[in-house]
Amino acid sequence: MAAPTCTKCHERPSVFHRAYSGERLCAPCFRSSIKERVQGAINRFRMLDHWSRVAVGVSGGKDSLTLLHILKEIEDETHGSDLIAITVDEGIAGYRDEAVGIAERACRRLGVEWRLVSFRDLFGRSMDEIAVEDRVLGACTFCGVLRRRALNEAAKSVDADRLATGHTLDDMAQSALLNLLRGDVGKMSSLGPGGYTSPGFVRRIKPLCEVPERETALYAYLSGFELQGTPCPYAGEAMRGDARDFLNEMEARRPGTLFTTYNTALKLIPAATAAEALKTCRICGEPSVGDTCRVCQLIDKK
Amino acid sequence: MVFLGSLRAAAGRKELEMELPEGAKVSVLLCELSKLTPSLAELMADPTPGNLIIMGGVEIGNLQGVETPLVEGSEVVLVPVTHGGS
Repeated sequence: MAAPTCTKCHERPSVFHRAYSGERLCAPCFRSSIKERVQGAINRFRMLDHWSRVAVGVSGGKDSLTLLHILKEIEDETHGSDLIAITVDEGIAGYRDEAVGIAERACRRLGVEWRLVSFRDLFGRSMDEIAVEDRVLGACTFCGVLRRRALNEAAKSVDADRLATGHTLDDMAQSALLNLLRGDVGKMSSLGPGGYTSPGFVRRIKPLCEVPERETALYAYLSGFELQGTPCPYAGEAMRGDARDFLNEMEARRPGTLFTTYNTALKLIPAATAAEALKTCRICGEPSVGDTCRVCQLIDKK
Repeated sequence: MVFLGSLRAAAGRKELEMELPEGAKVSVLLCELSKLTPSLAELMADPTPGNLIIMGGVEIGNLQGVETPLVEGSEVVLVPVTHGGS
């Protein structure tokens, strides 16, 4: 059956329907629309300065590969910033080994400098070792907190002034909903896609903040990216999965739900920021919301 | 059918050839897939939020969704959308 003509170029047959906007896009127009959206977010949230040195968190998954490719295209056109890809090896046998290989090959193809850091080097143990220890909290809680610290440390070590991560619109909406469900309004402050500058923190930016995950998946498919085959063995433990399922269902029934949730969270950021001033961790000296940072709390608690 | 990313592991294969009655829709294909590959049954019960289903290079949401009639010889690619944890 024939697909409708692209609503952007009015020439080629479309391959994708954006239910929330009504657009039907051919492959080239779809790809260029994603790049325009990323460029738009970078400009609107003033994510980059001229000559920024950008560390890019590249896990090897489709989101971070999409981010890296688009930032590289933008960089090639503007010659404005340096990119250094950083991959964190959490030490999850099978799962991360495959992704590390994908990340390395992608960086080599693009000609982007690549650095690998590991939980074992930074924290003295792998995620697999942490997972089998007695613990109250889910594996994803440890992994998320330690990975953020690892990325920050790696970004500092390469003198980056920005740390770009592949958080998509879905991630943003899920985080907003989770903060609400946990009653943690102060944490909404970390949802600002343009990040903020703070001593000890490399400013974190989220250029894919307005790109739905379905669209990074399609971008990756149309671009012929190598897609990771092994699922994370700990993924089922995350509360985020419940938020994801709920938002996916709502988005299917009421297209635009993800954007509405994300935009509502953005409106709450000023109030949340006022409530969430950063301190310095009394143990490790890194930036912290409380007297002791989450990393030291988790490492101590196990 | 072609399975990409984590669906490859879930399906236990990269590709699968299927013969279906003339005029069968994507929903029939997914139903047959669930019978042949029980590990995918839960995923295929509500396949569209978590996966892209691409038939002949077009995502089926751009056609008639799971009601899209299959075309003889066409390749259906399943691309997982969600991956990872925290």
